[in-house]
Amino acid sequence: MMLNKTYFLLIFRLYRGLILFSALFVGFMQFLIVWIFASFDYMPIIEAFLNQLPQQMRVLFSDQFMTYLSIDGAAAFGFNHPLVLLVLGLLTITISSRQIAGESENGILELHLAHPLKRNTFYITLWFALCVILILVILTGLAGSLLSLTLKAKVKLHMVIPLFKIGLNLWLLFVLIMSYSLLISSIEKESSKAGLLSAIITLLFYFIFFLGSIWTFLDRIQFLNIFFYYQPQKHMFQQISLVKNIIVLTLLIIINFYIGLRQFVKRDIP
Amino acid sequence: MHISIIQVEKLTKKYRKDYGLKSVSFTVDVGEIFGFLGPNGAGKTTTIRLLLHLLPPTSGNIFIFNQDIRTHSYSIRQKCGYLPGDFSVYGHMTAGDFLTYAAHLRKCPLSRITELASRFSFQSSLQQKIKHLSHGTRQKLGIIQTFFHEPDLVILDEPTTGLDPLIRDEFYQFLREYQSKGKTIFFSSHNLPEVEKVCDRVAIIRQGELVALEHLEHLKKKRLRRLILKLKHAIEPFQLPDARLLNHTGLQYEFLLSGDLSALFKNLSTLPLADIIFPEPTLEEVFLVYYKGENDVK
Repeated sequence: MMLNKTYFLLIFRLYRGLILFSALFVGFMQFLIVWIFASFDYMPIIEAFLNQLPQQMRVLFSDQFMTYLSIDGAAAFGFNHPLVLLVLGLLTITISSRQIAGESENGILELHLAHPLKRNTFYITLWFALCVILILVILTGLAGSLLSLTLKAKVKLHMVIPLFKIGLNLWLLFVLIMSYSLLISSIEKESSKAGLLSAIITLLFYFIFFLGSIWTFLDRIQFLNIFFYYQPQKHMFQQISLVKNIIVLTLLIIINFYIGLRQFVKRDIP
Repeated sequence: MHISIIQVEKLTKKYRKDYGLKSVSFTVDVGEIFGFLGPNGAGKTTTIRLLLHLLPPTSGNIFIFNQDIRTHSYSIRQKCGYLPGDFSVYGHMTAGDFLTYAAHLRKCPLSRITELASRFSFQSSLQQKIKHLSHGTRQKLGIIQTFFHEPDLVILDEPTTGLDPLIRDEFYQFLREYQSKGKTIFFSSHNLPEVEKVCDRVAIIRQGELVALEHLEHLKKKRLRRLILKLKHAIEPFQLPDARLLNHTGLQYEFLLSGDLSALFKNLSTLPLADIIFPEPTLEEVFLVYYKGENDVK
């Protein structure tokens, strides 16, 4: 058996509070963002604001930008909101760093592995449980968006499919973040160090991607950045290929998962 | 005929700079309580972690139930119970929930948990959160999780830490009963009197090296004792057979004894004694005999 049901359920039990908070937060954020955009006629306000700007600045706000300021764009933007990414990151990194490095530090991992539980089963079950947790949280976000759209009677089929594509893309991005967090946790002996290192790597990727929009040199090497393979607004308007993102992210997930598993199987406990 | 349940052959564990264990070999027979004695940092826990394959050895072999731990660790651990030295589990779980989790992990019935909880007066703690349990009560939880699935081999690392004397005696009694069922116990401790109470054979480890492997009777014969004599009045300097004077202040003399005590008592009767004290020897004193030859001690 590659998975252990008892340990799988334990992960949910241990982190039920954090999972519930993350799911409610992400769901509420999606609901709120779509609701706000669906409730107000904001275009005259934005146009008035743009008219106040000098011509040189006005060209910075391209037609594409204006397109993003639609309900479709808002639904996509919700999944790219820094707070949503932060909560998902915290959830992923907290569980990853605590379950291996943290439990190694406090002796629980030693007790776990003295039971008839193979190391690869332990690691694969943990990885799989985190994948399921991320699916649940992201599905709650999608449910929040769809609920808001339905209540505002603005739900359309052409929006729903891209929304699910965004959900899939976001899930793959965070499975990748989780996979390298678990890899770091398999090497480190302290939970705080493992968590900090994973967080620094993720934030570096995020800020470099953000800076890339204003710095041409960084823009040229964005393909090396994991956030390059997750741009929800572009998905919503079919400006990028989901297949390419899936291929790249899946490949990176497999590499990180494999190295992490190898590292965990051969590591000293504690 | 002795059948070995654990065979350790030239086991070595090297960390980056130091040796955790240096070419240690021993066997543990079926149905015995095997004491593993050594001071803190001697390599007891490292040995146990190697036995459970939590650490990979640098060199050497371990066979448990005649199976190589490297290739059969899963099936070996199914038949083992383990109580770590520092038993820690999820504090916000209740003790009962943790035991249920352990039972599910081992695919074992829960009935024996109730029986053991009753034996160690633990029933009232089953509903309590683990973080609210005292150190001793938490240790009882560890004991229950170690034994509830009736393992053929039990590995205990300093198991009586934090237990009150009554429960400790109950635990020793429980170990003897468990042994009488044909089960084997690997008992690690730094406490010599404790090992003397329960073990059949004892291995002594220090600085990663096995310095002795003895039946308990032999160990008792070899062990050193301290003797403190308080005299009624001052006398001429004197000597005692098989004894080395460690300290002398006023009318008080402190000796380190080894060998036969009968000759010693004959000599003591000639002295103007006010008091005789046999303090419990420290572990260092016990080890001394294995580092220096008995002649050196004399």
